[in-house]
Amino acid sequence: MNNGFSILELIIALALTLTILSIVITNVSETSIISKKITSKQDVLESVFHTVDTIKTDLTKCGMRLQEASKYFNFPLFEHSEKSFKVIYGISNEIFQTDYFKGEKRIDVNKNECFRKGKPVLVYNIENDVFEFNEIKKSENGKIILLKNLENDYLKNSIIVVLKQINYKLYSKQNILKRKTGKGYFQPLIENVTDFYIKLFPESNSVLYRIEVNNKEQIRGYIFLINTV
Amino acid sequence: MKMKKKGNIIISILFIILVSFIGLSLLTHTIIHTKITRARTKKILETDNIHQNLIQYLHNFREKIFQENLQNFKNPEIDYFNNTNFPDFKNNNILIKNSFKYISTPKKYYKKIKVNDNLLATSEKNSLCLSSNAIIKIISGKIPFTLIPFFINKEVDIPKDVFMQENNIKSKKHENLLVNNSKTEFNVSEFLLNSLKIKGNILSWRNVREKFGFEISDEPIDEGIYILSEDDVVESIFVQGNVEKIIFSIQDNIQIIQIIKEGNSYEISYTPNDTYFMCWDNTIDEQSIFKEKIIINGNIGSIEQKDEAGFLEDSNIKLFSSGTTIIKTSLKTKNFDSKKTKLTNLTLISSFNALYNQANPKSNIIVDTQNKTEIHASIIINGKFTNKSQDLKLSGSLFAKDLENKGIIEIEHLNSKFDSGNYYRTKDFKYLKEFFIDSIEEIYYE
Repeated sequence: MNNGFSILELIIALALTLTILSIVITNVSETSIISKKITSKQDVLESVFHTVDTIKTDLTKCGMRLQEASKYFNFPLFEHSEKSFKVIYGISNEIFQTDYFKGEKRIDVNKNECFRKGKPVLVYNIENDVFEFNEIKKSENGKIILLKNLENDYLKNSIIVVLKQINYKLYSKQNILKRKTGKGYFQPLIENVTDFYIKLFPESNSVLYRIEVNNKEQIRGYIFLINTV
Repeated sequence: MKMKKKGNIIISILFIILVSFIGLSLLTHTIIHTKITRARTKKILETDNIHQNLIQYLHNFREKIFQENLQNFKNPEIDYFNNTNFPDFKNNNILIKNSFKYISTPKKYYKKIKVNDNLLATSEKNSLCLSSNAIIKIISGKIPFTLIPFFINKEVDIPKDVFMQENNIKSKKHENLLVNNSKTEFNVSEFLLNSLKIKGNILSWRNVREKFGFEISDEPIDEGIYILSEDDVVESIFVQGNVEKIIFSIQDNIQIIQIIKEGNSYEISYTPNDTYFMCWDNTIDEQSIFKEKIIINGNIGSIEQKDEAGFLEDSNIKLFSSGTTIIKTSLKTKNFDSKKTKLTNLTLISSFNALYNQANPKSNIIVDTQNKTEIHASIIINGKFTNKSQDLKLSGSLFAKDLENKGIIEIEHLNSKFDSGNYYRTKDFKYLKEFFIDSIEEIYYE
């Protein structure tokens, strides 16, 4: 009798163990649920912050280095439809140090990392009222080779701008807002987007955007397109 | 009893570890999130601070350069746009540095200068930095009047902006409008000599009579309409005396001009830049090219257009009058689009000259219309411009020696198709044409 536990002792020990275990399990599961909720909310907030930052950065850059050309040659820097928009800006530019003529493809540029293979470019000269869009086929040691022959003569001091085009589109069925740079594919930017709205106010050169996530969080912003003024 | 103690300790330790782990992970997550949020907010605020300072600086820069009298500088691209006039600027711990470069493009009588100001705004508190490229465009030299949107060439004792405000002159695109008593060159004789294909430098009735095959004397030729045609080229139409009306109209790709003088109607129809010219004079070859110069040595009682547009897109009409010209309707180009159209198809010039034998010659242009008026033309007047229209939109340019405006004039600059710089231009003049910000972007230093 002295070597074992009595029934009463075992029952008490079992009851205590079960009570502690049930408290622990309840607490753990509750904490886990709360933790998941907080984490998912934080994830949503962080992805919203990231989205807003990305949109703001792109809109702020919209029209950069293209003000003069877009005004003179009348091409849009910002376009939008109900659930999508497109911005275009220049990431770098160079001034021609010599004349280039119709049919030429090889152009000297200063050593500039932005002038890379596959990048779209705009070549223009306001004085001579000529412009064209082209693409860099090859880039090597301060020289670029264009994909297409120049269609016009470009005298010294003409300008070549490396372009960047960014598209945003809401995939309504998937509730995903996606972003595409240049020729790339649309990449998801934020999920669970239940509403997306964008509008340009040309008089004030500003854009209003609204993103709604999970039918709850709604972010609105009014951005002045500083690089189109 | 020992077994009982061991069981309790293990469960307790497990419980403590579990609770601590969950607590710590929640805490860490919250701390990281708070830090991210704080860092993001801080960066936004600091970048915004630099941004605001830079914008404010650019605004002041713009104000300063447009208030400066560039005529005081021989070469403004060097003498004015430099670090002496625009030194480093510090405000709210933000340092802004200017770096100037320029490109000069020589033209026949003037040069176009593009000054690039690369501004670098840095914060002394952190490594955030904004770079901006501002572009200033200057035209310097003997500038054709048609390159300046609005130029009233007279002395005024009020600031330019006040003059524009008082006279209801507006520019939607914020173009630099001028009121300035500067020296100008009105080479009317040269223009008329070239238009009448008269060799030499002296414009006189003797030369004109010789050209049109009249008996040579110093007397003016008889009143009437004369067509100057040489080798299948109709150079100009010369009208001696006043005309009642000139009516412009279009039909498909044919430009029609009807001149009404002393109750008689004289009509010409032609295709611009092509070999088609029809008129009342059967001796003129129909397969002639018309150079679109019409010279009225007198007053024009009324310039009008038929229908919605009176001018073809290919037209390049130069209408010169020695006396007063009255515009009675809108003068519009077909398919005119303010975003796409770059040059005007009509140049109206009014100036007295050696052939205009008037005691007190007045070369004025008056817009005398009732409704909203739209004029697509470059206007050069060696006299006064009067607007009686309530609302006049001028797409082109205006040069005049005086102004009387009874309504609102809105200017939208377009250069002329006609190269007027050979005859009508400023003397050595510096015109600040444009200022704009080409780029503002963040720069990241590693």
